[in-house]
Amino acid sequence: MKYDKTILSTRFELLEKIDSFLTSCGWQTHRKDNETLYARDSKGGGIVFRFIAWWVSYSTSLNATSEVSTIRVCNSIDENLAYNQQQGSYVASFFSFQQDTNKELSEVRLIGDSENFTLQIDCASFPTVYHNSEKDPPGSAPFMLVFSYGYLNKSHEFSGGAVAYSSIYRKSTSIINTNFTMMRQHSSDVPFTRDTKTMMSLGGVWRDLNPGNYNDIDLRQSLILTNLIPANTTTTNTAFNALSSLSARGLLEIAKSNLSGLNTIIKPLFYYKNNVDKFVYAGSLENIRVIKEQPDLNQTLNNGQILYLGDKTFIVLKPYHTISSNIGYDLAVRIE
Amino acid sequence: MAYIQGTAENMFNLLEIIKNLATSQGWEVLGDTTTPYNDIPRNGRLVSVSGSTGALSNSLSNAKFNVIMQRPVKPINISFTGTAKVTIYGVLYDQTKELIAENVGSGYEFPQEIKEREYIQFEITPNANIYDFHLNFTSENHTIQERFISLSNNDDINNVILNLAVQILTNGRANLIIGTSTGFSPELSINFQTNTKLGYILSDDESVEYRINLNRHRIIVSTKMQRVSEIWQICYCGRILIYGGEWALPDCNALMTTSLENTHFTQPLNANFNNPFLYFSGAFSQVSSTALSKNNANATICNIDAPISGEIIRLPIVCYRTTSSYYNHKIEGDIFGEMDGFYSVILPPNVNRGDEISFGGENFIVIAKGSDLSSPYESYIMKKD
Repeated sequence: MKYDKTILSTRFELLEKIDSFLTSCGWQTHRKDNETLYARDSKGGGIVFRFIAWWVSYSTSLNATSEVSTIRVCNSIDENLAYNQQQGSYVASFFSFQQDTNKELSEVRLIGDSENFTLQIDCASFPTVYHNSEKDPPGSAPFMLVFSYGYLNKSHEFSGGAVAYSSIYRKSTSIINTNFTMMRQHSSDVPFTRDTKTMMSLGGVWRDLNPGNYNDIDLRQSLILTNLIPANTTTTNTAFNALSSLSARGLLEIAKSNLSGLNTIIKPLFYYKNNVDKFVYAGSLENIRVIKEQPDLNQTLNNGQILYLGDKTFIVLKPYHTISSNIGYDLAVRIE
Repeated sequence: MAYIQGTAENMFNLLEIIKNLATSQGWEVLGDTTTPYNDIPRNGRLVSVSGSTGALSNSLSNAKFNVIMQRPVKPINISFTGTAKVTIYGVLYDQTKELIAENVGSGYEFPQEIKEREYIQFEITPNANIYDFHLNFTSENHTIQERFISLSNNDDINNVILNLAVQILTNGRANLIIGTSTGFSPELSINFQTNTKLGYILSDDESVEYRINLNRHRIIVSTKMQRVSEIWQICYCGRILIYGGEWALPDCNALMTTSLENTHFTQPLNANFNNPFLYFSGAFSQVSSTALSKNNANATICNIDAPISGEIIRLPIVCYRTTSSYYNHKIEGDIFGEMDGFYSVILPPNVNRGDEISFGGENFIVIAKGSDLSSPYESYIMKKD
């Protein structure tokens, strides 16, 4: 795995950095225009990065018809097609850079190989500045974007198996679905559950545990499940987990073993529903782990902290910028 | 690591097979005691006594006592300390009770016709104080009533002591008892070894099929009785693979077994793989495990199947516990480790108990599938060599 950390100022610098990083990892890239980058991985799947300017609005919320910066995942890349017309195109990340186009971001981490890519844009230290009129300074808001894309280590051949995750995504603020917001994941949301933007490609379509509707999805209808979804055996509940017996959530919650002092890290496992309504095991994400923090029990992790598991090295990436209620769930991404 | 399978004539034979397997794998025999079946055990141990057991040991007693023997016996003679006389009734297998000795002293030898009859119960009435009462006998097909073997893995850093015993008990029981301990006391029975917890493989006196895997740190025994078809019993006894290494949890022995009591072989298997016992912080405690068992998995909440292509999923059996759970999802606990070479599996329809499968170059044998242990999810595999 390649790992790089750098400090950048503008989204254009970031696009160039991603371009050269992915190329060095073995991806084929195409700079569609100065705001758009196409990247094709070694298996033929792709990511489309479109980093546009903050849309100036004279209120703190965005107009429903405006567009923001996005990262889309897709099944294949055709350089002749537009950024939103790639085959199987699906929006994973949905976020906004700072308004000052000379200082839009700060620390960036990139981790990847020929088929996996994880990006963290760490603007956690940016101030919150509202831009409500032309006289106000450029708008700014702290944000922490973690985007991860990769392939399952599949247990058997099936069509699909790419996985994407994003810590900032689009979510409806009303049940009628005409208003939406850029949803920033809370520290108490566990990655790879229906509380976070988690999706897997299955049969050419991206199946999303959090499509961004006002209400959480009904897990009983979901075609994918993961081992991080908590056990729930109430069949009348939308959080009912048909694989409750296989949930590793109970283990994740024991963040640190009292007797041995070891941290618990859980590898995400995915399952999909077959055509006779039974789940089968799809595969595992080999290079990603989920880990829990409980700061008031002296279990704190920092962004960039290194964890060792035998001969493997992981780096902690926090998908949020403030821990609330003294509970946080972080990613640990393999760098060696 | 060694794997063996086969059929043993009875549990004593199986015990000998396990001992030979262990010594061939480098285990040392710390103790091997055989108690012959030719006398009423001291203190009435292993038999059923009503009335006072005093006369069967070193206490003076003139009380009447009734002994139910484990298996029918042909009496030879009696001896005891004291000048009293005793009267003995014997009960035959068909429950007929007959007077076999009247007012006789120590050293009395039964007449030939009595010596040829098989009794399962004796009622002894002394007319004054006696002690140390013996009734010597022979029993067809049974020459041993108990054998207790203690084994050590000979590893100074990671010492495991494995104790095994077979006892014939009343009610037709002839169970294999398995446990670990942190020391060996030659004068004490298997129940009283230091820091022990016992698992039982239930049996009668008939033959058993077995599949056993033994490595330097633990044993997995699975057996099937000849007379009870399709019910396999399993006992995992010894170390788990500790996450973090031995230093974190010394002597961390696990007991995961289908039977926690020395019951009759027709009794339902009472133990739950979801709650095995683990030794840590100086005692055996019951912890949780991720094993799929009848208590935690059914078709609704474990709606999983093998894919059409037939791949098998192997799930480790991880031992853990939650010690405290506060408001707001704050949780403390321990994740100890996982079972060594023993996994829950989701099997496709064409793979059955006794089949061999492999993962990543290692070979496994299916030792339980679904309905064997009453839940479709109770399927387990064990490592072969």
